[in-house]
Amino acid sequence: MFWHVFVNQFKMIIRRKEMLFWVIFFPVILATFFNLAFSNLTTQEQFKSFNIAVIETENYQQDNNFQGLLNQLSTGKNKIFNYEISTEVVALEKLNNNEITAYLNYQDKIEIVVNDNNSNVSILKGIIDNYYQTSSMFTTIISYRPFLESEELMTKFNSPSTFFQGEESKNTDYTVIYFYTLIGMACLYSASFSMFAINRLEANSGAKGARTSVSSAPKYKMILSSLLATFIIQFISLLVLLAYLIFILKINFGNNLNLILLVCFVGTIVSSMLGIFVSTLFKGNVEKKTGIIIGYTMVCSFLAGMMFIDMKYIVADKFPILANINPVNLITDSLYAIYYYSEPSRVFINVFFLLMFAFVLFLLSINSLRRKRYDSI
Amino acid sequence: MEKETKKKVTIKPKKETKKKVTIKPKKETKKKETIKSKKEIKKKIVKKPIVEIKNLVKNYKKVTALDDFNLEIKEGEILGLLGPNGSGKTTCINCLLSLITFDKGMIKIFDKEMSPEAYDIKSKIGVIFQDVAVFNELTVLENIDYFCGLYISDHKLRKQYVEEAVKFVGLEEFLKFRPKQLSGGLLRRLNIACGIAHKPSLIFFDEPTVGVDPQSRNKILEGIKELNKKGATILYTTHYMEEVEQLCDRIVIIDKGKEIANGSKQELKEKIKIGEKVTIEVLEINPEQYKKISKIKNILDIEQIGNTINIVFKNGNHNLDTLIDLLKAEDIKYERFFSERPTLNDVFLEMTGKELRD
Amino acid sequence: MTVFKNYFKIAKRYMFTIVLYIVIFLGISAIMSIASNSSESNMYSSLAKPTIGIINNDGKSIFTDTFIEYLNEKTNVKDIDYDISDIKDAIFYRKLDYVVVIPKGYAFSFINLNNPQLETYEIKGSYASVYPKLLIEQFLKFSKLYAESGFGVNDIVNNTIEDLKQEVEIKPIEKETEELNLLAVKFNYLNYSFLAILILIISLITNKFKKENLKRRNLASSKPFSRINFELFLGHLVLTIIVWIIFMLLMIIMHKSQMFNSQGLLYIMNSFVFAITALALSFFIGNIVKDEEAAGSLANVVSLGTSFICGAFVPQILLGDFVLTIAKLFPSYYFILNNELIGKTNSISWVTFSPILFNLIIVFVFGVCYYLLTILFNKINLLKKKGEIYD
Repeated sequence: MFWHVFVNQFKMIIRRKEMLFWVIFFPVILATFFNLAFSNLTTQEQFKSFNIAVIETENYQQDNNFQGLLNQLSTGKNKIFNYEISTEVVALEKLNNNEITAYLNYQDKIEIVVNDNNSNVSILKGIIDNYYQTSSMFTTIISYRPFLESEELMTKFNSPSTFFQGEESKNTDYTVIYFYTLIGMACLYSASFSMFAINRLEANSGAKGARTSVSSAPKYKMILSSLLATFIIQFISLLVLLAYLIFILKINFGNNLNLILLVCFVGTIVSSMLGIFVSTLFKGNVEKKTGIIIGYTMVCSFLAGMMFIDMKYIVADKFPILANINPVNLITDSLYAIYYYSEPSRVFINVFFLLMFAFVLFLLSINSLRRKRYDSI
Repeated sequence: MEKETKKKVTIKPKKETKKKVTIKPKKETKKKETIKSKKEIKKKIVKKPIVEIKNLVKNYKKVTALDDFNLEIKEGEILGLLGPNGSGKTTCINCLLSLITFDKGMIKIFDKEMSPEAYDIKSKIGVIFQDVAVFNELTVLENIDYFCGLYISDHKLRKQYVEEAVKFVGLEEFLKFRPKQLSGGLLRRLNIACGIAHKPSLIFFDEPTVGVDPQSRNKILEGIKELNKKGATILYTTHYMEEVEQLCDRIVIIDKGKEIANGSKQELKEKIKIGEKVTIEVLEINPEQYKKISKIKNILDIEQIGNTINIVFKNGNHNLDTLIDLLKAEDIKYERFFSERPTLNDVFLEMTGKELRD
Repeated sequence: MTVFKNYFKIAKRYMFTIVLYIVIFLGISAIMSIASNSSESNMYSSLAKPTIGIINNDGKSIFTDTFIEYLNEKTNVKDIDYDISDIKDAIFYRKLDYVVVIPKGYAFSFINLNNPQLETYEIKGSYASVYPKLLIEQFLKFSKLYAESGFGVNDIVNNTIEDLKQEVEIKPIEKETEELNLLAVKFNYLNYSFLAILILIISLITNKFKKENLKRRNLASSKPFSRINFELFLGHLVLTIIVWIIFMLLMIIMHKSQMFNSQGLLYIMNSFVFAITALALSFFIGNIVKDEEAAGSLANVVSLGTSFICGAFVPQILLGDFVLTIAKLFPSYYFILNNELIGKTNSISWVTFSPILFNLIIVFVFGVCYYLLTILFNKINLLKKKGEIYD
């Protein structure tokens, strides 16, 4: 009877094609969006030049080096900015109108006048700071060692530096963690499958549930076989997402495939239990229960840092207990630990917490799962 | 109608047959009845009831759905549970099946107390609910196989049962169809197949023909009779009295959670005053003639609406003969003349003051 | 207006889900507001001081001391032991953005131009790790050139420090701009909230409505289908406005003073136009989607997806060209762009206002298009389904 129910439940899930499609491909589509959004962050080639104005002061006119620098930075393919000479009044107006990021007022020292603090401003500041600093340095060097040629100095100064140990280029990428939160989210999201399956077995969910309840099939067998069917589907859907991330989007998950699969496996257990929990402990129609699962998944994903990565660290810092009971966070952390560390102890700790979470959900549901009579159906 | 002809037959041979028959005509009919009942006894041996409900009370917040309700179903009978919407029929079945809690009372099936974990009892029960309980994702064959498989683990046996169930409901041509592709009548048949595939000895039908076309309905009723012939005990709830009249051996009428009447259809009809209802559409009639008609014996009620005369007779004999003789004698011409035996609706109406169907 | 009245009966059935979602997103918006105020190292803010760890295995020397002092001034330095797993942990939990280890004999080696190397630990690519690296590079580059030019240790460090003290002044013209910019970020998150709530609720209700309406149409309908659609839309409109008001109230409560000037009003107006367009988009989705489960998924895909690629979570400046091209297909892009513009607007003049107005119009036009698409889609569907003409 076990396999009989299992095979049929499995068939029923597979044949609900729209649901299958959405639950599997929703995370895939989202992953694609993520990838697009982050595509630019890791490559630092793309840079949009901005506009500035320079006020024609005496000091500016006398400083040929500075003019040369401005010229150099505003021409060519990799130009940083475009600049134009103007008066203070015009520049101020353009600044107010957001037509320029800043204007330079070269009095005794250069003043950068801005409307707003942003990364372009810091780039500009960095450039001009550097100008002053290097000028000061060259002046110092040549004044004490006049025999040195400035061109030679320049060449030495600009030669590539090797101050740091060989780049450990592996496993320190900033954006992978977003994709790990996505796995966590996808995991919980598929709880809908187990929720539907358990819902169908309950007498108060329509004639089908009633007929099933009336049959002489032991309920625990029905639950186990249904759960096994949904578990397999949920696990496979997670693997599909994982495969998409690893092979197509080429996100780095580290080297330990076994641990990754373990995390996915335990995550699926949690999601199965979540589905049972929502199905048995909440009364209402199917839409309400689906809404609860989606809502809970989103809150957990948010707290795990999916939309705003610092959220994860704020939670870990200020509400550490919350961090350890949030399944999305636990999954994310586990995957990140596999990626980042070479030894797996942290992973096992997180897996333990996940299993605890699943167990608690199960305990809470077990009473409602038994065959029972309802007040009304 | 059968009895009518039989009666006529017995009147004439009164003179011809031997002493046994002539001596006491009343006993004659009684004997006929006892002979008949002997035949009944051969078919249905009285046993302990399969289903026993005693003093069942179920309240839903403000409403009392079942009020000290009692019911007995004997083995091999088709019991009809008849009552208007909201009378408690479905609640009664749900309590029987241990799907809902009840406040007071006792329910026994197969002489054991019923509970949600009583798997041995449940394996012998089949249910057909009013709402079609099939899975849209499975085909007709898969649905029947699935539900049968909840009872029968043995592959071969199950396969055989499923085939028989399919033949029984006549869905051989639709095995690979999905429920969404079936018409209402076929869907109902599938519903039935799913409920009886495992050959239960006790079957509950909860208003299985609501919204079904007359042909399918007849087929369903025929099917139920066949199931009964093969040995199943059946509880059939409905608010259609025609079905109950056609199908059931014994009828329990329920209203507002209480039993109103209990007995075979004949017994029930005999309980009420109404014997026969006659409607005549006359071409013309004068008040005198009308008065004469109204003075016929055994008339309970008579009224005239335009050219239509409605007469209600008490329980009695020869009413039609007398009436027709009078019409001939008075030369009252009529277009249409029909008589109707009392129906269960009349029973219900008299006992509760309401119609079965509103 | 029976359809309109009926609308709220149906909406009541989903009241739990509606309230749940509004509460969840209010919560998320509120937490994001608070968190982005206090966050020191999000991708957006660029002048925050990173927190680093320095491990000095080289003992005391003029060079090393000056180097460490220099870093102390420009960053927050925290103590940490030379324990690789501790270091990794600290970086894993972002307690430190960057860790540099000065190996034994470094100073001596460096002064003698032997090119020694520092050990570093960081998360590659985050701003918080790039900046410390830059600072270190500056110091070392300058020091190296001095060393190559034959200066002594004392001179090397002193000159380097002197040089690096040179700084230009940044003069902002108005102080309020920073806070306004942060407000833009918070209004950007509304993209996620509005789209998620509206798509889910509106598709659920529209779906239910269509099912029930189909039954009724067979019985008796003297109303043309477009009229039914319109009244349905009105119902959604009321719901949308209620949701919008709730979120505006949240914004006002959280940022009282800033909401009641011209910028605040612009933000409000921008969000209103977007809310209407979000409604139209949700209406469109609700009419195409057949399955109720799809509604939930679509709500999340569209709301999260557009929030990522249109610049709500990752700022538009940081997005690549290709992404932005795709982003421009969604009204979210223009909504977010407008929020950025409003954030930079000091004074309302035609020059500053016209791009904002332009974007508002674009967003509105998107809304109209979605509505028309819905009507078109329904008409086509109608003609397909029936051979006869009912209306």
